[in-house]
Amino acid sequence: MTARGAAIALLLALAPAVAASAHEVSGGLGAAAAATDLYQITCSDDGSGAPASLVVQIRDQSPVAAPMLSVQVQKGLLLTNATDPVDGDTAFGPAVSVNGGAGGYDVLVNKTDAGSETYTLSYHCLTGPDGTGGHTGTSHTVRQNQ
Amino acid sequence: MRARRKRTRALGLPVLLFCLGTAAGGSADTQGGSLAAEASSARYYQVTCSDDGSGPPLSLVTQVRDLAPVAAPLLSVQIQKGNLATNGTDAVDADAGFSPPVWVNGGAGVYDVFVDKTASGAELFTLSFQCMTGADGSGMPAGTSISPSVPSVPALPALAALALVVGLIGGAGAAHRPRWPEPRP
Repeated sequence: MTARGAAIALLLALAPAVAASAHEVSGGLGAAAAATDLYQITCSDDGSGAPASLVVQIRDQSPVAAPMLSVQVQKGLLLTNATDPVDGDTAFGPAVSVNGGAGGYDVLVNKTDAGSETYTLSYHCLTGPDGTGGHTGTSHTVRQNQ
Repeated sequence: MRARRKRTRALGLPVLLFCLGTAAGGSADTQGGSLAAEASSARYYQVTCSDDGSGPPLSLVTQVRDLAPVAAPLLSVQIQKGNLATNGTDAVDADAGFSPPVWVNGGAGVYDVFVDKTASGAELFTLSFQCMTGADGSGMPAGTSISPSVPSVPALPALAALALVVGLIGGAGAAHRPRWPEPRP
C-alpha cells in the first residue's frame, strides 16, 4: 500500500469516530440578559436503531463572565434543564435527556444575566432511554440566534 | 391534561394577590408552582393568547418570582413559540420583586413557557403571565389562559379568604386596570 493509500485508509477508519463525536455546535449569546438561542435537533434511525432519547450538555466557555449558561430540551409534554456551574473550564454541565423518541426536539440555550457568552452545545440521539444505548441519527438546525 | 383558567383580573382579586404575597404587576395573571430538588427539575406550561374582546393579542409577557425560602438556585422563565424564544431570570431570591419582564411577539395561539433553575435544591415560585394587544408587552391585556395548572403555593389561606370577601365587596364597580408589565427599573 502506498503512503497515499494508507492515509486514505486511516481517514476512512477514523470517519465514523469523527461523525460520532461531531454533534457539538459552538454558539454565542449577545449581551442582553434575555438572549436565547433556539435549535431544533432531529433524531432519526440512521441504521443504528430507532432513537429513544436525546441527551444534551452545555459548556460555558471563556471568557469568564457573571452569567450562568443553561440548556433546556422540550418535546411534547417532556421538558428538562441543565446548567453549567463553572465558566471557562473544560468541562460540560451535567448531561440531561428527554425520552421523546424520533422527531424534532426544541433546544434552548440561555443565561442568567446580562453579558456576552460563548458556549458549546453537545447533543446526541441515542437508541436507549435516559441517554443510554447506541448513537443514532442526529442533526440540528438553528431557528433563532441571539 | 386538565386545563385551569386562573384569572386574577377579576374585581377584588388584586387585593387577594397582595395578601398572598404574589405581588403581581398590575393585572397580570399568576400561577404558583414549585420545583423539586433535582437540578434538572422544570415546569412546563402552555399559555394561550386569544381575543377576549380587548383586541387580538400580539405578544405574551412573563416574569418569575423566586419565593422564600432563600436557596442557591436562580430561577428562570423561558417563552417559546415557533422560531421565537426568550429568557428571564430572577436575580434575587425571596424578595418582593419579579424577574425583568420578557416577551415573545407570537400573536394569538399557544406559547410554551418553562420555569427552571440553575442548581439542585427545592424552590417555590410565582409565574406572572399576560397576553397583550401590542408588541413587546405593550398595549392592553388580552385573553390569557394557562394549562396545566399546579397547586398554588399555600399562603395564609384564612387571610386570603377574608381578603377575597373584602375585595369583592369593596372592589365592585372598580374600573381601574393597572398598567402591566411593571416598568423596568
